[in-house]
Amino acid sequence: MKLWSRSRVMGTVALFSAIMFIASLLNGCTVSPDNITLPAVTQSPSTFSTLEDVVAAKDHAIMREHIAIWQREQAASRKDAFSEALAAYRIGAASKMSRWSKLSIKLFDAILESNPDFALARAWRGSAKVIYSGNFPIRGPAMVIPGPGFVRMGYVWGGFSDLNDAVDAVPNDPVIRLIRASTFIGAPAFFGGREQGMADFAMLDAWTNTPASNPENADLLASEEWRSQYYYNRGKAMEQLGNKAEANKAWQNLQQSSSDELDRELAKWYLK
Amino acid sequence: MVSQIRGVVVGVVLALALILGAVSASVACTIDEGVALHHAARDGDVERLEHALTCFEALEQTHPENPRVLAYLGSSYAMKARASDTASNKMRFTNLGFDSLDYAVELSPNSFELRLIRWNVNEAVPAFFGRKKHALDDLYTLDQIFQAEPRPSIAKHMVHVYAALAEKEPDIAKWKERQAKAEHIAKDAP
Repeated sequence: MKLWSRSRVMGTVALFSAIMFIASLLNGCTVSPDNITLPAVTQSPSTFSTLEDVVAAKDHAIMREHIAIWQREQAASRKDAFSEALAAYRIGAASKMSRWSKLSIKLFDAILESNPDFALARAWRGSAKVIYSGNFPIRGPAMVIPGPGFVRMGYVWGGFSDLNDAVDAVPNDPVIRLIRASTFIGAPAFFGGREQGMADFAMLDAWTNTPASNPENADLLASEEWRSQYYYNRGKAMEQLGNKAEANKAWQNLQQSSSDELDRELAKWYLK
Repeated sequence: MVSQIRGVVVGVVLALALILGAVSASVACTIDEGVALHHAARDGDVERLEHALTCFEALEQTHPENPRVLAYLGSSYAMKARASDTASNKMRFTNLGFDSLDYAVELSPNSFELRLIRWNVNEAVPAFFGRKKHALDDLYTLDQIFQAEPRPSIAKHMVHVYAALAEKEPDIAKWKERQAKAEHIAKDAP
């Protein structure tokens, strides 16, 4: 019996073609604002009975805010592409609807094509790629097929690369470093970003505790908007790592620094 | 019949008058008035900022390819970004500002005034906007314009431009020398 019979070669070629076809479908499927639906969003209940209720309410609050921004940009005679892309990112991250993450990647691609040095857009695109990989349309056993599996991993590596490039371009920017820290820790451990994510959080903690240590960003670091965003993201990251002691510190700081009722409620439930 | 026709004609004339009135009311300022509002806002009169924006947004409707209108509109957006209290609005208005400023410079790349406005905005925004190349491009173009025609009226601005070039670029001695020359010429400005 011949090792490589004609039918076996044809079968291999057919399988390879099918894999590449699926990969190309996943990579090239068109996403536009016209062919995706907005997620269903509810108002926050006045009382919560579980932590999951509060987490869902927070996600819905984020979605409401960014759906409003999205709709404003769609209706605006003068559109800001960055606001549009970031709203798509936030909607995708909070709703876990992969098409929104995919759309945000496409919108950030266009922004970076006209201004490749826009480091903040690069950081958000990197995070969008990692989130898209996490909410990949093909899941479960189908992931053992090399095509989709490679495409999915490609998004993670591409996202990490964008995030590293953005931090390298503006190493003292707290927002970009927070995006990298949260995304690296949010990605599965085997991608190896967690150590860098923790190092970023250590640096961010030092800056937040002593804003003067980062003079060009001292005003931002001392602002309530920064502190609430920082402690919210730090708390979530530490919970994900199972570091309850550090998570609790972050929730306590969030309770003290945020004027947002839902943030304080969230912190209260995590601290229970 | 004649009176009916007369009524229709009067109606049409009145409607036209109303439309023309509305159009002229929407452009209630000139470029010079807009520039004066912009400068007042820049110098700290916050209330003038919205007036400047309204003025240049209206002017842009009637002069969509006027580089000065676009540049001052862009600069007004940048000031609005600075005055905004949320990060998302700061981002939005800064980006809108750069859209207008870049288009203005594209339309009139050798205008001293436009390059100076864009450079000032480029210098004021955080590094993550990635405007360093644009800022350097503006600085070098301002230098070229001044070297070609060292007018006293622009020399005072060039003192700051050369200070920035000496700080950012190699050949510090050359920029310092040009800065001293600009200072000397600026003394002759009226």
